[in-house]
Amino acid sequence: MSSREAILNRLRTYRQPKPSQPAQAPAAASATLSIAEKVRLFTENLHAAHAEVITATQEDWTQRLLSFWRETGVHSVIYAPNTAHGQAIESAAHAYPELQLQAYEEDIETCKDRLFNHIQCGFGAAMAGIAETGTLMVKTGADEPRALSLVPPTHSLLIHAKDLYTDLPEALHQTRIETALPTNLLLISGPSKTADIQQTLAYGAHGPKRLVVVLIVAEESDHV
Amino acid sequence: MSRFEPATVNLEFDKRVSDALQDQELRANFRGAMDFLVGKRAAMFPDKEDLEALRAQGEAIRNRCLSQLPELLEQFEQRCTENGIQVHWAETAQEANAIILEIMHKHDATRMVKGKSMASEEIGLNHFLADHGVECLETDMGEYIVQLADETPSHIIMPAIHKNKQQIARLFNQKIEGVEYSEDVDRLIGIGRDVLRQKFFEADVGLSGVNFAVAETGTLCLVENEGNGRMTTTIPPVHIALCGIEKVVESLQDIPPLLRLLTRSATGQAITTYFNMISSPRKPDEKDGPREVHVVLLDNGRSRIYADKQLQETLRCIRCGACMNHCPVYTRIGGHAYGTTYPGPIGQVVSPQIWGLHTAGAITKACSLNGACGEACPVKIPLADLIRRLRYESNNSEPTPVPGPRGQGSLRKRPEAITWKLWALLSRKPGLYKLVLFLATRLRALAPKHIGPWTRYRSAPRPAARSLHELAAQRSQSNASSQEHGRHE
Ligand code: SF4
Repeated sequence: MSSREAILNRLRTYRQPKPSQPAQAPAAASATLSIAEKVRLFTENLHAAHAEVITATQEDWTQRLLSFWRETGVHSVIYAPNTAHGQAIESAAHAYPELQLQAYEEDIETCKDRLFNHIQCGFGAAMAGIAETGTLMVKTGADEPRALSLVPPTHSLLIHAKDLYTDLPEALHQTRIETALPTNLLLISGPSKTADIQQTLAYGAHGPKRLVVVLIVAEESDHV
Repeated sequence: MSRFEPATVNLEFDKRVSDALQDQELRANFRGAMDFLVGKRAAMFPDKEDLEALRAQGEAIRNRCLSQLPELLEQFEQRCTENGIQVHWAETAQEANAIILEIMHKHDATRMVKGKSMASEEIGLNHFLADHGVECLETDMGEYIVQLADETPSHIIMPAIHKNKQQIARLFNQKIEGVEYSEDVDRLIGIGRDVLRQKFFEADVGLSGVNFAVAETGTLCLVENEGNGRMTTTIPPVHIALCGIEKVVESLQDIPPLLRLLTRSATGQAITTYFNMISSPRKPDEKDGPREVHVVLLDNGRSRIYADKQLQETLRCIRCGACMNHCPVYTRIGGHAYGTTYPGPIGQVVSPQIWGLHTAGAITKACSLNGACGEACPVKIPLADLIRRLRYESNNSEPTPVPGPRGQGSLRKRPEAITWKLWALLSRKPGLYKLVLFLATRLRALAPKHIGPWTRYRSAPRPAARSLHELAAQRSQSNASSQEHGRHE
């Protein structure tokens, strides 16, 4: 008998009868907040997790991000070229001529050295955000490579306020993500960190030391 | 302590405990760390009612999933296979190690980076692979520190919690080439980051644990803060996930409450920096991620634990570590004193069941049955009850109807057993009881001054001059006579 069968047989033989009461209290419906409230909470939680937030509009976000990079000395950025946000930053990049924008076009095997040793920042977008925890939901794939948000020391991430949800159950439910789970779905809440040495918090353990979230709000009233 | 050998747990337990108690630095490190973690958890659950509701929900979800475990495992396997993930089943530690080595061989792989995985500690993977010429590097900062010191983790969430920064500074200075002594934590983390980045860059295979495996979607969920788990599962061309069979949950909807309980109980965080959900290897149009993903489903005694209705509660565990943080014994002796992969209350329950009572049953002694662990447990595992049950099984020589823990009765000692038999006999025969009590009180001068370990730190108990029975009888007699006296006046 294979190990598989042996294990399953044992489990079937000794299983306990199903619990008689309903097994799970229905999850409390999450209180849905207004966009402005979600923006406030989301920003607050990201700050608490040591992330930086740039609140911008659809018109000025590229300029604001470019200025941020310039001011913080980021001059090499990798991005996904086949995305709307990638193309937007590409066409705005002339405002920062020293910037080396590199498209993530090759397989990691080819660009690994560059990615690990030369690129300062990865730029991508999040599909959703969770206000209650300051979390970004990133659907990786052909247009959003996994290493983009992981290897370079800074990670810049774009998100629209309309994609904010109150909490994780609401985000999972509303995005219907379970029907189309990507290779790797990520929830990111701040820059990489550790408290493994004497409970002292240190950032940039293995992933990005800096997380910069560009939050696009549609209307003045959504600003905080 | 060097390498963990299950065979030595029972034999060296008392010595380990007494060594740990004498190590003042160790005790200070643990005291500080546990107070810190207990405080952080408490701050995350300000409302007692909410906490209780969430715990009940966590317990119910885990129970429901366990009650369907065989079906969920099959469904998980099927979904994974459809998604392109290769599934392997391992009944024993040995088999799991062999499967992992075979995958390494298939790829001519000699360098493995590891994310945090207690299951891999449980099966002794590092040493097994080292014996077969594979370099196996721990990449969680805490695990890396512990590996550098040639030690084992002393806590399931914070492996290097037993060390302070001075000790780590010395370790880095001694063991990593060209590193100067520095107590600056940012600097120390930076050093670890640089060393490990190079290893991620070069690794052939990444191995991770699994926090939750979702049957409905064939998804592996990993909870972490550092990013080493993502590095391990993203950069090397092959990813192997080692997953205890009890980790399967039914659907994605089960995840949010469990995640909430896990991160809040473990480190007092509302959520960790990364929650990583992997559902397939790299797809043809994708630029990164491993080209092969394997899951090794590990039994190693879990299906035996499953067989016993009471002990099955053990399998609800989501490995948050809160029980050890709240345990007064763990706080004083630290994780290494147990001598097992899993320390503290959950370790006292899991370890003797995995390795048998004859091997690891003695650690159930390190419990005052105060119940703090069970109160802290986010999925309401009645840890104290289970510890008491395993103590009983250690001494019980009767066979049980279901498999039950191995090594039943192996800690039974004849003098102890005879003493309890006599006690039972005395309690059933009032005449005999009275006689023995009479003799004990009258011959109290002959009571022994030393009775084994009890008198190492305490004085021996001495029978009173008169038994409570006698005193009570005397008093009621004198009361009666004084009342009688009063009536006559
Ligand atoms: S037994 Fe409970 S408290 Fe202990 S690690 Fe497991 S889930 Fe956490």
